[in-house]
Amino acid sequence: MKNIIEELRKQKGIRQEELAMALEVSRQTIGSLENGRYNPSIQLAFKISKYFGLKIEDIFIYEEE
Amino acid sequence: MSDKGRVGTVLVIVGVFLVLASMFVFFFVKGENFTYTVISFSIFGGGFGLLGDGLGRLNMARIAKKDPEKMKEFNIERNDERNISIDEKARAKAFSLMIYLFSIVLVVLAIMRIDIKALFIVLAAYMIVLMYCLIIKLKLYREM
Repeated sequence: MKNIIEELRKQKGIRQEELAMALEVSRQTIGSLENGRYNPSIQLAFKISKYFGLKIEDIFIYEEE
Repeated sequence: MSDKGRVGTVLVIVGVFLVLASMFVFFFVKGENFTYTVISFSIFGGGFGLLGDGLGRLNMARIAKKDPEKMKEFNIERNDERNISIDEKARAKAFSLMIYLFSIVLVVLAIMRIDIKALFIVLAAYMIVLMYCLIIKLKLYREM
């Protein structure tokens, strides 16, 4: 699933480590999320949307297979 | 001392006691008794396991006290959902492989005409693993 986490993080001017700390996940998880290699759990998706103050569907782009 | 530290101390004490007790049995209880040898080796292994676990817990308790920030990072790394997911997937793949390997080993052992009791022990272990898998599946079907 594609997402705009990297874009949002850069807009906020924070590093992957800082975002990882705020979301209580590893830096590698943030990297994988940004590359679209890993789809987060619904809890993490909510945490991310809350952190950026956006709706989940504004951050994650659902593509039908 | 934290709970983790207390448990660690108890495990280290029990571990040292078991290792010493097994060494005592091994070196001082005379005779070629196979049971004594098996028991002493088992206690020795178990004792070392507990000792290792205890030392690990003590070390974690020491880090938690000395460097809480490092401990927080460690906990994040340990509870990270991607790491957990990777670990679970790897275990699932290894389990699938184990099922095939167990079957092959059973056939090979049967061809080698090993003692039927030994064969049944391996078969029982195989069946326990499969039953446990089934029980967990049924439990999860109900819960999820």
